[in-house]
Amino acid sequence: MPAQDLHTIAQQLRRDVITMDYHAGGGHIAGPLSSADLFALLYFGGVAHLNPTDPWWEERDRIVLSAGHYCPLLYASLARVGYFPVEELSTFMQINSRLPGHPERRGDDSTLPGVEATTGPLGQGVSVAVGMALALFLRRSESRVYCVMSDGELQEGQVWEAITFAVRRQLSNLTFIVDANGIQIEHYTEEIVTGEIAAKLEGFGLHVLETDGNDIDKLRATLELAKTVRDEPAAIVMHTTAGKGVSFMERSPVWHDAVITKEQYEQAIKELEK
Amino acid sequence: MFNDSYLRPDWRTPDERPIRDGVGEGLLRVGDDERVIVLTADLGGSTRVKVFQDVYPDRYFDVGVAEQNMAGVAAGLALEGYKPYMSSYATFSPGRNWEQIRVSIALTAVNVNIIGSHGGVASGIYGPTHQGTEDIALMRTLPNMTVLVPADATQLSAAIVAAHEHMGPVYIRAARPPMPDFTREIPFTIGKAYVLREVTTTSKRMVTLLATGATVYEALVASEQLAKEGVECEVINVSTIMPLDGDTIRQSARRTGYVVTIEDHQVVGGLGGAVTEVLSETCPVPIKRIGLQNRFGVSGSWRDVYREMGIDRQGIVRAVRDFVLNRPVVQ
Repeated sequence: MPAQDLHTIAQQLRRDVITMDYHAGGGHIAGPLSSADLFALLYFGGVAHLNPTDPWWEERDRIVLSAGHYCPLLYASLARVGYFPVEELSTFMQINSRLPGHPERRGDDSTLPGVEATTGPLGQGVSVAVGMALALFLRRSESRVYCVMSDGELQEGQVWEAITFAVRRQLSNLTFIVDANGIQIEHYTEEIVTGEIAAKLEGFGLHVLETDGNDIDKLRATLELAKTVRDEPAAIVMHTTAGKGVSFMERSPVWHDAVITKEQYEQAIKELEK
Repeated sequence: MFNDSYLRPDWRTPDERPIRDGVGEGLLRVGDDERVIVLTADLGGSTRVKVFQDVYPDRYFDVGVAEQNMAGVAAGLALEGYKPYMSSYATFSPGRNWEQIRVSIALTAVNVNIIGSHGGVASGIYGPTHQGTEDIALMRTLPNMTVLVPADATQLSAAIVAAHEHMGPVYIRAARPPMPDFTREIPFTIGKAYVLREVTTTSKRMVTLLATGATVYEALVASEQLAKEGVECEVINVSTIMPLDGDTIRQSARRTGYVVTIEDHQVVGGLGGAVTEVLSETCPVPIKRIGLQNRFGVSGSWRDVYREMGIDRQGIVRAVRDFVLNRPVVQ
């Protein structure tokens, strides 16, 4: 799929996120906007092997959203690619919805098709993704695991426990993707943590690739390159713009999560029509 | 009086075995199933899971000193259809990784079996940092979680098999020192409390002793002394804390009128808490809770620490005597 078409899909996903958050009166914004290009590539661009008509198809690639607060983006992607009706997006965070405030995989009918893990408490999805990759490795499956993380998430110690184990087990069927958008709830990440993310990940033994996460062609090439890495898991440090696509939301912790007013909603949708 | 179908004939002079030895034994009984995977956090030897490695090296993983990651890896394996057993000391797992167990395992309702070795002050000489004395409370508050506290190595081995057949996460508590191995080898029924000594004669002084884990044997021995003093004890091995066998506990409480709980764990949130909750709602009777009274353990040989905490046989006899003899006689 050409980059321009994927950009159009990414913009649609961004509008979905803004609309879901606006109607829910809550939910996270800046991260889902910064990662929308990645999700367009994973779910629509042929990067991950998926089958929306058979969500738990044995040979699918697993996409674990460890940054569970990005879930409006996950839900929008799953709906738009055909896992469930788009209309269901309007139930986001409502009672008895299959689209809860953070992703839940319950092993029963309450689980939204395509949600691979219960995530949100940061760091936890990373270990679950590693466990899945180990399982796939043990049964010699060709499937890959993609673990989507945020840069703030790297402050959790569990992340480094998980990476250590994944490197030791040489889980090259696993790609970590870090959305380096530079913000967290109350800070710019550089106010809290010093040092380069890529160097730290490399120090732990990962095969690190850096790219512009809002440039679809570059990101696609990097995701494909990651598949060719052998004997160690790859990590893509994806530099992105927090709140990408909405001028007044960009590059500010204020929009990590916020309640969107009617005027802001209309302005944001207008900008995302481009 | 004593139930021969649960107790070995030589239960008064039993061999001693660490309860944790049942872990490795049980794992070898389920190891044929290729879905079984064993994880440990650098404590394979002392939690006794390491014997599994000798037979099934491809399905044994030491994740290193990283209990939080171990819980998540176990959840990921389980989501892919494996049946992992993860092992560490109770104070680290489910102590340190409680939230990982809560979200990745319990909320997700996956088949992960959690082995918390070194439960209770029985861990002894390494002191309170390494004595898991709140693990039962931590685990029994989690929806979907089953909590098993076997009384000896034989019962623990059977509990490992029961957990393998059970759908959903299971916590199994083990203990460190050699202790009496006194129960018969029978299948472990999850959710059943085992009546080891029944009150059959009508006595003026009757009491129900509900014990769990290593204190079950202490309670049995205490019951013989108390009988000599005219106090008839019904002794029940509450080897499943969650779900609690409310029916058996209520029946006994109605028969005796007095209940004592005994555990190597904080009475708050442990067996004492669980029994008090169920009886106060449905069969209110006076209850005495023997266990750690809102204090940490201390370092020492396990028998010394048990004495210090009042959870050894003499401590039980004293506490029950005070509790029952200071009460009006049930007519």
